[in-house]
Amino acid sequence: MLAYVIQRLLQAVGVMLAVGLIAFAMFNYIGDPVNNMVGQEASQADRAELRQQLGLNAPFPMQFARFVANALSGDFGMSLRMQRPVAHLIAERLPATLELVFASAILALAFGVPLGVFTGIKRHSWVSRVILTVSLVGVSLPTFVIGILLIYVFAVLLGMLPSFGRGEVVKLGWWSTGLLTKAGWLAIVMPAITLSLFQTTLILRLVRAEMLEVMRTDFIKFARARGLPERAINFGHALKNTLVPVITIVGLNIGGLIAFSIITETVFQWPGLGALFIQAVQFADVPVMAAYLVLVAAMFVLVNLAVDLLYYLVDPRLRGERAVAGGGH
Amino acid sequence: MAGAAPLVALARRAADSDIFYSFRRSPMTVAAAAMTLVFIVGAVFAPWLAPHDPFESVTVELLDAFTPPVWDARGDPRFLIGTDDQGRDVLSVIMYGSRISLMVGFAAVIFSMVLGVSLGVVSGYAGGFTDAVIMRLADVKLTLPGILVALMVDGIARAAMPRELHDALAIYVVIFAIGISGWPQYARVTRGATMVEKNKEYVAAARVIGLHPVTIMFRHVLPNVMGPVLVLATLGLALAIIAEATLSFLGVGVPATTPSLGTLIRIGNSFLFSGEWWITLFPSLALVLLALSVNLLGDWLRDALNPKLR
Repeated sequence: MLAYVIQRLLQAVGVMLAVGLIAFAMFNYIGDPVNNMVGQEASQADRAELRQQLGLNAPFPMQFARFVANALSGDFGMSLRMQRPVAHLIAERLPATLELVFASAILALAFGVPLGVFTGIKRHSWVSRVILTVSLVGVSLPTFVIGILLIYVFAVLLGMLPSFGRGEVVKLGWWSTGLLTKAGWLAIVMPAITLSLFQTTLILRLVRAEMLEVMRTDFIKFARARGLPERAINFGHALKNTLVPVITIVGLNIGGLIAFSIITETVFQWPGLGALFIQAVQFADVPVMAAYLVLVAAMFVLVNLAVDLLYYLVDPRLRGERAVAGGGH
Repeated sequence: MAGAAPLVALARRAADSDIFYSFRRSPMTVAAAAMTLVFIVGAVFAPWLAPHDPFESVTVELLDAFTPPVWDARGDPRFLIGTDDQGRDVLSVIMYGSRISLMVGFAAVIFSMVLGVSLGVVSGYAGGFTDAVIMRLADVKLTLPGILVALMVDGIARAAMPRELHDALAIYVVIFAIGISGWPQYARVTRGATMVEKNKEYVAAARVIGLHPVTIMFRHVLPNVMGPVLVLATLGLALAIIAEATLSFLGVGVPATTPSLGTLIRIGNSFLFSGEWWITLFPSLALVLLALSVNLLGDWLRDALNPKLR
């Protein structure tokens, strides 16, 4: 187990170094960083001095090592457009995005798993068919169209929910949360639904397919023969055995949630990382783009690591196989 | 009439085929095909079919701006589904916009298909180290969401090129950005099929008569692995159209001078609150219908070409 964890950690570090290299290359070779910092009137000598000061004359591995060291201490340089440290911008925007992503993930699980179990067990009921058809339409709707439709119905026509921003936020240290005020809760409803819809359908279909598979196995028939109540069979036996693939897909899709949060944040003018990133792309603000790339990669790697470790908790067979393989040879 | 006879025979053969039978039997697929055809014809022949030329400044009147659809009391019979903020006929801009959307979609799919299929055939045929490198690359690509990669590519292109150059090349940048994120699926499918095909006798025969490996790969193996690739390409077209619309909606896609469906939705979105819903909702509807029809066609093709599901 320990060897496995260490191996996975080393892999994670390797991936992060590779992403760091890409970010560093972007940062240093797209446009001249010195040009980006000084004004038009700076002389050749000033530029050369700044170049020396910034260490841009050092050999490549040295520069990369410094970039990694800076990144580890949270220093990603200055935003070209806003003239503020990138780390501050990100720290400001991070809470909004994380709250949105968490709210959507919880919504997706809270609806996707039960609906998947239901459509898996009551396969031929018309309710299941309706749910599946609706979910197919949901997959074909682009995220931003869903957002626009929600805004039109609930903000413009009915005037029930706010269409932009986070409502009222409360500061808890450096973290700003919208989850402590009523306005904040109202504001997160539509963005969270928009972001979760695709994931919900994905989880629903996956859980349904896995349930259909598991319900055919012998141990379920045996559980029936023992006269266990339906509830215990469906949730205690069947659902438990669908969890490994579900965890994998949900974990891998946290990345999808982060990527699609860019779209959702733009539609609802949600002041998060995605909105910051889109502005950076529009204005070619390379340091912000590089930092976003590193940050998203870090989240990916962490989630993947967590998923791999969760397998051990969920599926005892994996522990057994490893032990046998390790001990037998 | 001697020239027509083979054509008639061919049409009869097509009408008798399994694929056409499964097509006819599914009303949903027929409807999806009809809808796709309407979009393609409307887009390709937009300059002749569109009721107005939305980019001809002589005929566009600012006075006509914000005319609602005809069924509204303030509507104007000249503009079936209303006009936008500049007085352009919404139906016409949708037809011209579908042109851009379809063009970018097709080009991006062809780009990722050519790239993916080539790499896949080479990977499957060569095996060993080449195979390992290409497949690792595909794995890395598959873990990153396509839209994120497309945004990154677009951002880098913006940072690396002067503004005017980027504006001129914007449409190609978008095609590249979307196409580059789609290749691994094609590569995987082609690789798998190639590995099966390369052990068959006809490949051995081709090798025995001394053909060049490249000739064998592309002239002999490739035609036999195209079925699944065609399915992927159809489903990929819907994805590419949505990806283009998303990029344009986010303001980093095609420039506003040649609006695609996504650009139209983006522009119209700012008028949603003042009650001019038709400027954004009709292009959205067009986009959804187009994506849904192409998706349904792809689903049908997948089932029709899969003998196991017949």
